[in-house]
Amino acid sequence: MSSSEQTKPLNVTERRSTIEEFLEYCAAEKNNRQNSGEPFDAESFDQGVEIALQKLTSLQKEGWT
Amino acid sequence: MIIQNLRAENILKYKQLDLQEIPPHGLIAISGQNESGKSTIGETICFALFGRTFSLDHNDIGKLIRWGENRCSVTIGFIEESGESFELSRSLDIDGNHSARLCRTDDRDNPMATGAETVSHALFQLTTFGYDEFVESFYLAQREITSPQPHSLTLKTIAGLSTLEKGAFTIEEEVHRDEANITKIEQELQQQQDELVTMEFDPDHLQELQRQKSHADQEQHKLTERIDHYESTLTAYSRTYPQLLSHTTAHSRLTFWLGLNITLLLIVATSWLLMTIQPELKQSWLNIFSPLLPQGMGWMALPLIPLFFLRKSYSSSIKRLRLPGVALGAALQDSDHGLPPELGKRCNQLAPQATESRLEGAKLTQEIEPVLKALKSNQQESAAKSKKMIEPIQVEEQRQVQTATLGQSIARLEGEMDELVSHNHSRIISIELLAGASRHLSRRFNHVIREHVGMTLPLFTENRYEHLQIEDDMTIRVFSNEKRGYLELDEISSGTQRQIMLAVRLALSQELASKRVQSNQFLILDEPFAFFDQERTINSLAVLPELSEDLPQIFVTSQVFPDGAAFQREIACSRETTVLQ
Repeated sequence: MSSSEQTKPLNVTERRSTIEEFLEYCAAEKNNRQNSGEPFDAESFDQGVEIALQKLTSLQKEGWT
Repeated sequence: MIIQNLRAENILKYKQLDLQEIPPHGLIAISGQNESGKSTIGETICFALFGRTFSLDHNDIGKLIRWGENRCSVTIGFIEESGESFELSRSLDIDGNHSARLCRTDDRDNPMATGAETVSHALFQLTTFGYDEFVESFYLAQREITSPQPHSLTLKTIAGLSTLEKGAFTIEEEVHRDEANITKIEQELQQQQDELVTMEFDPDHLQELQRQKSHADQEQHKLTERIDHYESTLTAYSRTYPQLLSHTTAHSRLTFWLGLNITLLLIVATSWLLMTIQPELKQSWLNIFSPLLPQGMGWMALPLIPLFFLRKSYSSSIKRLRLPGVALGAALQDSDHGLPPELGKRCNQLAPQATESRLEGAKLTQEIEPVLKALKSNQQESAAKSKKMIEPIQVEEQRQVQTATLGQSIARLEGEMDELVSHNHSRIISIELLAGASRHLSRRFNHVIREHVGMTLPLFTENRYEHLQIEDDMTIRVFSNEKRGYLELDEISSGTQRQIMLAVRLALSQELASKRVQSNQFLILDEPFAFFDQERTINSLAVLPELSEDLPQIFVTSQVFPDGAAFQREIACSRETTVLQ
């Protein structure tokens, strides 16, 4: 690995906003919890997601990215 | 952001700095001895963009003005991903007056922003990074190359964690605020519940009091009606009694005269009939009356009809005049309203006398007086009883209102508390999710940085170190190919540490450019290869332009560049030169 030929430009990291990243995580987490066999309160979970989403949207409007 | 040109006057050692048509891709080499002004180019770019440099903050920025001059200025031209070109001008004088102006290159007459603060804000909108992110990634100053600080906001911003953490933090603050509110409501609730228990309000007791008062009121009402009835009928009785007496006398007389008249008429009629049936009687002494009989019958029959009608008229009148007595008698008959037994008995005795109007008005009034007195006494007693009930009922009603108000208040507080508890429950879930997403992003960020570092680290370290291990707290370990294991940074030489940190810095630049800036971006590396041997420097210089498609324009400074390195442009600085073009 001593020449430039061995080095290629890295793939650009998938470009997603924080909100998109968060929603993706929540969707995966919900799926995990629903299939965990443990009791799962989907309504509370969705409310939690909604609150966080509102906060992130509000922060995004303030300039947080 | 790709820099197109840079013009400056009176900045640090340069009287004039004018770099035009800077290549948008490839390496731009800035070479020269120590203190030849190599780093000044990077500092000038930094000042142009952010109004400060790495070594001079806003308080010391006056030191940027060339010695002996009153004012410095800089204009930087750059192009964004959209293809739009911008020009940012900034000037500073020794009195500290700082001006800035940002405009589109094709519309210089209408600046997008003027004034240092406004320009700073507008630039952030354009580039989405600020000074902190800039110096942590795109600008490697000569003196600064350290391990990333895990708690640095800049690093978190690059990783995309800062918004999640800020969100979690503000929601946590809301949870604490509402927990305090819940405690306050609980205390208030407890106080009101205690108050409610202390009141010991019994609705049945109020109903019983109201029932008793209602009964007393009804009794009083009945007695009032009864007394009024007695008094009115007694008055009517007394008023009509003389008239009744006279009418009764007149009626009796008329009955007598009517009876007498009818009797005589019957006698005369019988006589006339006898003489008609037995004519021989006409021969007797009766014969002298015979011519008078028909005439007499006529005279007798004549008053019969008026008398009859007059008597009938009196009968009707008497019947009407007896009505008060009848009413009074009925009242006396029904006089069981708490009267003493002897008075009740007396009433029963008086009842037929009143009904038949046998007693004179005054006499009857006198007889009934004790009854009326007893009734009035009972009425007053009922009134007093009713009045006595008013206050306790009012007190109980007031207590009922207070109880109801307290009940409503308790229900409201319970509702508020339930809502707060429920909302906090959801908030706690949201905090957990934000923390989980942060961990998830942090791990992925570390993974991405490791991947990025893996492309340059072997190159920078001559394959002695291949990859890094980055913990969640940004603790860095490096894998040694020779020792076949991970080493702590302080276990390796400072030169190698610097090489590792350069690889990390480049990785952060790549990540920021791809994730946040989302635009082609210039990179300034000031003396990055100070601890590299010539071969490694050549290899590194060869790989830098191809490191990332997001970082096409790279400024690199070095005292001397090795032969054979390919540059898009070479800028040579010297200690004696104060004008660089």
